[in-house]
Amino acid sequence: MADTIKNRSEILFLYDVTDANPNGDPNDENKPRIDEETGVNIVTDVRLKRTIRDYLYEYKNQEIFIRETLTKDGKPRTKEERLKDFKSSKNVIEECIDLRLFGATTAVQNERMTLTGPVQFKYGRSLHKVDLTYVKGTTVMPSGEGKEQGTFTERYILPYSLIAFYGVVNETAAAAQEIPLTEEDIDLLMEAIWHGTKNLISGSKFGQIPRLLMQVIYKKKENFYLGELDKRIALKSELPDEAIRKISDVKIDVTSLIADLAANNDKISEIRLKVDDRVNFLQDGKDVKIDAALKGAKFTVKPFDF
Amino acid sequence: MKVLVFDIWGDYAHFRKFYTTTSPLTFSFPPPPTIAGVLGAIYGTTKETNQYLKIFGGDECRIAVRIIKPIKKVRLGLNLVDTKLGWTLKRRTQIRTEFVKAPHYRIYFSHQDQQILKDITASIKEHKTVYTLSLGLSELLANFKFVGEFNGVIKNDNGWVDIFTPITEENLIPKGIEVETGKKYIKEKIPIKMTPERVVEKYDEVIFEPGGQTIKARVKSYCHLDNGENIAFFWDLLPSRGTS
Repeated sequence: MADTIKNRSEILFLYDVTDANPNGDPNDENKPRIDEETGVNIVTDVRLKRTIRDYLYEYKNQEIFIRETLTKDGKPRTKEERLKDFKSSKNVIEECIDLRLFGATTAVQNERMTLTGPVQFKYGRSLHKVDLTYVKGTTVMPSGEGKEQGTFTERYILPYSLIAFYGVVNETAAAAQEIPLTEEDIDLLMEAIWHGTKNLISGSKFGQIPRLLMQVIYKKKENFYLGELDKRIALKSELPDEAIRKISDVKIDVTSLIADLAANNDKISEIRLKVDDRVNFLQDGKDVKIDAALKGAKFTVKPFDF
Repeated sequence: MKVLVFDIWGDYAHFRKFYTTTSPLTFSFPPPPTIAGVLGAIYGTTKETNQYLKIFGGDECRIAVRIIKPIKKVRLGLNLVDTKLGWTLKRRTQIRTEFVKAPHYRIYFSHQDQQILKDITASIKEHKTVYTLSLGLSELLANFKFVGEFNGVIKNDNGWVDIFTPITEENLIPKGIEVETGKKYIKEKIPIKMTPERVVEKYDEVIFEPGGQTIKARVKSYCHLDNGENIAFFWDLLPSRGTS
């Protein structure tokens, strides 16, 4: 077995959606989730985790525990039946990458599993107020026999939303629960965040583009992490928030992010980075490249190789 | 008595109320067993034996909490997997879940074991935590900040004082609240103590001001800090074994 992870790290991920619904609220007509007080768009952690799981299963040949499996006659299988695919609960963790990353709580007959995931994400939030738009459409095909024409459809979309996700990877949580989470698993996680987001091409999610993925890796045994990386960046635009429609309409101010990281440079081992070329960054009011700005703050910056 | 004071905050919090089954509601502030969990995460107690409840939830320590930002509750629909009738991703159950929005609390903590108090104070000062901190649910990640270390004196004078924290009914002298204009008074029944088997031993009603303002009250015991604040711990104080 490969070595389990030894370092704490923090993840900051930015992506945007255009004319889509990044995460519907099932109890509210599947409208995009919006904090009514601030107009900020919210995406749940489980939406991001689903993206990651689907990518790892479909593209990276990884076993995923939380996925739908069917019985021989095509009926969905129960949790008990899914567990029977594996020899033991220890075995499940060794085989399923999603359990190693995100943990699981299940209690079925004779098998109990209560694992807190070493990797945790907060709900994602847009960096600006969004403009909720209602779209009416028509379907061509009738919905049933005897009906002579299609019907009207309706859905809610966001013309634009630039969303920030923040997460923590905790090495002690893995070690204390004997979860064999490896560096390779984390590499796969990072790849899945980027490419999984890009590859989600359902009707409601098409048009998602990953913009920035940053992993701040701390030195071993520091027990330190900065926290709230998502609150240390700010969106700057000449347009009113609701009128923002594309990434070139905005600049991401990373002044305080880099300053706060730099103040703790002694605890940071390296920063891994992937950036979309079209994102404009600002530092102290000037346009910058984020990798150059980080290198300027004397960090070891390594690009993700996917 | 030395009292460690630190802040904890996040985007959302959910402290599940025990008497709801179908639509999960949240307490307005973290009850003592939850605060014990936060302290245990910083300190690094193991999860298996629920050691955190022994060290940070028992008679050897004192905990109080103050509401810093006014309590705002919102509801979000969560898409959960229905586990009763087979476990599939198609069979979902949509649950409206209540959250505290932009929660921000101040925790007051003292412990008879001066070494534990010293260690946890050092961790918080250096912004170190062994496990990832959250507010009620693992995805509700939290941040924290050292506020100060103060000297506290226990007062049992039964006089009228402005208390900065929620007050347990047990601690309150009958008719011991002076209702002031511009303040709201809310009573919630919360778990006070939980055994390491995670069984709640003791519930009590607590009275608090949801805007985070002080409550003018007469209580059996409170702690006066040398920064001028009066706080009420969740349970009675025993004479400290340590110094001061």
